Amino acid sequence: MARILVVDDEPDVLSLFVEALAEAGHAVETAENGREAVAKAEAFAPEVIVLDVFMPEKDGLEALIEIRKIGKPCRIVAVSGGGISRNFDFLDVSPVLGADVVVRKPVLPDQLVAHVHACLASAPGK
Amino acid sequence: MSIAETLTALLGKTHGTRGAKGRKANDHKRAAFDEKEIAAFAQRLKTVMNTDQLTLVGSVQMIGLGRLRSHFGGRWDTVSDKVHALVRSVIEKRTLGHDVHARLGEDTYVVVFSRMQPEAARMKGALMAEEIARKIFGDSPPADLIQVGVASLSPDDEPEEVPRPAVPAQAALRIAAGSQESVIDVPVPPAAPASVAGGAPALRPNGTNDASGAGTFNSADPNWSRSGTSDSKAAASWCRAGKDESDPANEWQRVGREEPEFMHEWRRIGRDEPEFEHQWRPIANGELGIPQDLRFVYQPAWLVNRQVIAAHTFLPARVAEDGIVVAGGAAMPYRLPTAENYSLDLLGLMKVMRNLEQMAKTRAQACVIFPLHLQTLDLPRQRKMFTDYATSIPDDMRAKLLFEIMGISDTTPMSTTANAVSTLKPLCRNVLVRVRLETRSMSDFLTLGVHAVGIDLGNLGWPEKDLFPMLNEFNLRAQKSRLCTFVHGISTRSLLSGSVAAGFRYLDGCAIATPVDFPMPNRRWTPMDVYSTLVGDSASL
Repeated sequence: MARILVVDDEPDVLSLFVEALAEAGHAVETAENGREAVAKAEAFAPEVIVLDVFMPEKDGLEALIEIRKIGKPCRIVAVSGGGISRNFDFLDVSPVLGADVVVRKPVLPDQLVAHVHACLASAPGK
Repeated sequence: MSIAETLTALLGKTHGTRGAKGRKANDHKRAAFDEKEIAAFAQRLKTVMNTDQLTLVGSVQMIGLGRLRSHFGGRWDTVSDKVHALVRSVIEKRTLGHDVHARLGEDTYVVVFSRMQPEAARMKGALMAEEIARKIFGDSPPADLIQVGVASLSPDDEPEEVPRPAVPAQAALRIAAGSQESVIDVPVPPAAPASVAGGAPALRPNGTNDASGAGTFNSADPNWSRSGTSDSKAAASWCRAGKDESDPANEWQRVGREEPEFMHEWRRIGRDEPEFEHQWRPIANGELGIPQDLRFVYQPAWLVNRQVIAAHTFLPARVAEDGIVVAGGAAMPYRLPTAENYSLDLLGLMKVMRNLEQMAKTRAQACVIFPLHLQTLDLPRQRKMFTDYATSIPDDMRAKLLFEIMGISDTTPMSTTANAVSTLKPLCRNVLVRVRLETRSMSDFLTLGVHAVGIDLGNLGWPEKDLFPMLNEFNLRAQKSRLCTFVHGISTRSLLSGSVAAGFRYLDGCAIATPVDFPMPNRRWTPMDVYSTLVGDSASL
C-alpha cells in the first residue's frame, strides 16, 4: 500500500481516479488545485502524486516546481487532456520542471493505476 | 451542430456499427427510432439546459445494445426486460440530479452529463459499459458488446440564424475502430491569415514616456484592459515579475528609475501635429482630468499556437503611491467623459505611430494592437478627426496596426458596432472587438469581418475556479462563430495556462511578460518562459 496524492480540479475525474487507486489498495488523498496540492504534499508526504496541469488557484506546473522545492522524495505523474484546445505544450515541459511521468488524457482509471504502480517500482523522483 | 443533429449523428453511427444480421432483424423497428423522438429529447434537453443556470459545457453519451441483442439472438425477447432494467439502474447509479437520460428506440440509451467534460464522460461510459457487461455475464464478459459513444455538448448548440460555411471534413463524426469511443469534432476555424509580421533582428527598446509623481485616485475605467492588478497580491506579483533583479535587460525597471517626461511627450506630439493642438494642450495643461502621471506601455501579446510574441498591446500605465506599477484599467482610475477618451485615443495613436516609425528606421518589424473606445467612432466629429489622422498614416505603417474596439456592451446596437468596424477595417491590418465574458451571440462579429473577439479579465475579480469554465464557454462560442479569441488582464500563471487550455489564440501575459515602453519585434516565447523565474537559471527558453 502506498500513499498517493491525486490532484485534479474536475471532481468527476478526481473521484474516478480515487476510486481506482483505493480499489488497488492505496491510501489516497486529494486536492483540487495547486495550492492545496503543495500543502498536502508537505503534510501527507505521498509516494506518488498524480498532478493535473491546468487548474485554477495555482496550476499543476507551478505546484510541481514548489513540490520539488520542498525536497521530499516522491514520484510525480503529470496528467493533462490539453483542455478544449488539446494543447499539450504545457504538459510536455513538465519533465523539465520535475515530473517523472507524463500522461495524456483520456486515460482510463486502470491505466492510471498502472502508471502509478510503475512509478512505485522505479526510483524516487528528484 | 444542433443538439438534435448531434444526437442523430451519434445514433446513426451506433446503428451503423451493428452487424448485418442485427440490421436486417431490426429494420422493421427503425421507424420507432425517428426524428420526432430525437427532436422531443433534444427539446427536453434544451429546456433543462436553459432553466438550469448552472449548466455549463456538458457531454452526451450514447449506450448501444445492438451488439448485445445480436449476441443473444433468439433469446433476446426473454432477457430484454431484465437487461433494460439493469441498464437503467446502472445509469441512475452513475448520474446526478442535473443529468438527463432517456431510452431512444429499442436498444439505445442517451445520457447527458450536464456538467462533465467529454474525457470524464468517456471514462464514466467505459465504466458503465463494463458494469453492465459484468452484471450480465459475470467476471469475464465478452468484449465490446456494449457500445458507447461520447460527444461534447453546449447549451448554445442550436442552429444559428446567420448561414455558416460548410463544416470542414474534420468535423465529421469518427469512431476509432474496435474501440468504445466516438467523438464529434468541434468545427475548427480556418487557419487565420498571419496577422503579424515575421521575425526581425533583436532591438533594444528605447524608453520614451515616463511617469511623473503619482497622484491619488479611486476607481478604474472598465473599458481599459487591467493588467494583473485586480488584487494587491497579484499586483505585487506582477510588480516583482517586472522587477526581476537578475535581469539587467529589464526595461521596465530601467524606465521606472528615469525622470518622468510624460507631459513633454504630449507637447512634442502636439507640436508635430499642430492641427490637434486642441487635443494635446488641455492634456498638457492638466485641464481634462487625465491623470498627469499617466504613461503608456506595450504589453506583449503571445500567439499561442506559434509560441511567439506576435504583437504588443498599447496600454496606459502609472506608478501608484505604493510604488507598484499599474496598467490598463487600474491606470485609468475613473471613467473619462467622451472628449477625454477621444483625446487619449487620438494622441495614443500618434504615439504608437511614432514608435513604429522609429522601429522602421532600424528595419525591425513589430505589430501593435491599439485599443480605442467605441465612442470615438460613434460620434461624427470625433470619428472624422480620428479617421482623418489614421488615413494619413502610410499604408506600410497601417499594416502594422490592429485596432481593438472596446466599450461594446450587450446593449450596444449591432449597427453601431458595424459602423465602427467598417470604419476601421480599411485603416489597419485587422479589427478586434472586446466584449464581456458572458457575451453569447458572436456570429454577427464574423459577418462584420472581425478577426478576433476577446475579453479583459483584469477588472472582474472573480475566483479562478469560477472563471475557468466561463473561459471554456467563451472560446466554444467563438469557435462556433469561427472567430479567434484574445484575453487581456491575466494576472496569474494558472490563468495564463487555463486560458491556453480554453483555446485563446492571443494572450497578454501580464504577470509573466513584462510590459515595455516600446514595441518589440516578434520573438519566441514558450511555456517555459511562464515558469522560468520560478526555477531560476536552470530553465532554458
